[in-house]
Amino acid sequence: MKKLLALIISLALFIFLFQLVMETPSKLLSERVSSRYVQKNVLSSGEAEETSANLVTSVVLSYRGLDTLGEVTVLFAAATGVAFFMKNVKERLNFLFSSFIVQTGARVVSPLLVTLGIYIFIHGHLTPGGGFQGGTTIAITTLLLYVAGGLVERKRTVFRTLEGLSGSVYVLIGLMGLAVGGAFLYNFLPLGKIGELFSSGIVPVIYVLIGIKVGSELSNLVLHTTGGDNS
Amino acid sequence: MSYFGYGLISVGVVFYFLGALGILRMPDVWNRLQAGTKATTIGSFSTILGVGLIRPEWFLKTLVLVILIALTNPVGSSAIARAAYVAKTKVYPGTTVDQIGSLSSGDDER
Amino acid sequence: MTLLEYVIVGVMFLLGIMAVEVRNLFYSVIFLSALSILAAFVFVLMRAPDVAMAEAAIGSGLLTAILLFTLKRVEGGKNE
Repeated sequence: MKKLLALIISLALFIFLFQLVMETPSKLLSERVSSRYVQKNVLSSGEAEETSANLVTSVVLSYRGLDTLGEVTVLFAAATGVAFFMKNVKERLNFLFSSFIVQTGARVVSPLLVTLGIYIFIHGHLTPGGGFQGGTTIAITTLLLYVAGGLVERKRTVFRTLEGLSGSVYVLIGLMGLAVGGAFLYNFLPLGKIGELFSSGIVPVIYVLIGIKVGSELSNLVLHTTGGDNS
Repeated sequence: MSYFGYGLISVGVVFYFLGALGILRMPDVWNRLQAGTKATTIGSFSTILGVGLIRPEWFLKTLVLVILIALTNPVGSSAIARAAYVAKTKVYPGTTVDQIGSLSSGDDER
Repeated sequence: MTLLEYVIVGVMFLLGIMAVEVRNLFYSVIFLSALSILAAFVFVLMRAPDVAMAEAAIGSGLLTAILLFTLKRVEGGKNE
């Protein structure tokens, strides 16, 4: 019975994938990918890339917003896998070289690093950088505080709450775009003037969300890798 | 102003060269570490400030960079030296003083 | 490409080969970290600062630390 069920499921999956493969490339390429998948056209005016000073950002978040959501989801899956495997590890990794000098240095440098990370993801649409880079900087701060002798509070619930909240708000903004403009992650906020902080619609909002999500996720991952307790 | 900047960059290059020479010629980890760290700290200071003097609109940014290097470089060097001590790296035979060993007999004092 | 880029890419090539070929896994992780830093530098030279920031932060910072933690967890891969 079980084998029959597995056979049916795999057959259905095979037919599904086969149909996808058989879809000819010429049919896919006859129209623009952007207009086919996100309903945003490069040629039409008033789109986000005209107001975003950093063009990469509007490609990543405007045309490929759905892909970015997928990347964040992959990161979430990886962090969950690490948390699953490190759940039963009791012993903590300790660092013998963490002295008074290192602790003081970490205490002085870490606020600067967090500020730098927040700057990177808030100004993602104006200067190079963005959510992933800023979030990673924040996670490196967590790593520094840990290596300097366990200065970081070992409460993962804050990180977990932030991560879930920002991920849900990301999807919510996408659904609002679907309701207002007819496409997922449609840029429905006013675009503003190029080079200003509040410009290019939903792009900075989403970058702030991605920054918070990636930062808390990677911090969680680092703390889980070092092990110790399973709170 | 610009000539002063180029002079600072030259001083920095000389310090970098001395640091590399020290890393090649010094006998053990701690000697090499102090040669390398001192030379690169001063070398980075003068090189970065020299760039800031040549391009005055970058001066504030270079000042921030110098402050960051002043905060991080000695701390990192101290951490490396301590890690080398904890890992019981081979000491140069001519060494006479072991202050950490006389203070806390090798384990960590935090 | 300028001469500087050729030199850096050559060093990156050597580092990659050494990271695969060296016996000690700890050295392998360190070579990988150095490779990431040079890759970030090449990205800056090729006018891609976004990728360079991601590479420098993830490749040489976070990834090295996580790999070293994992190596310490499995005791350097000695009893495989």
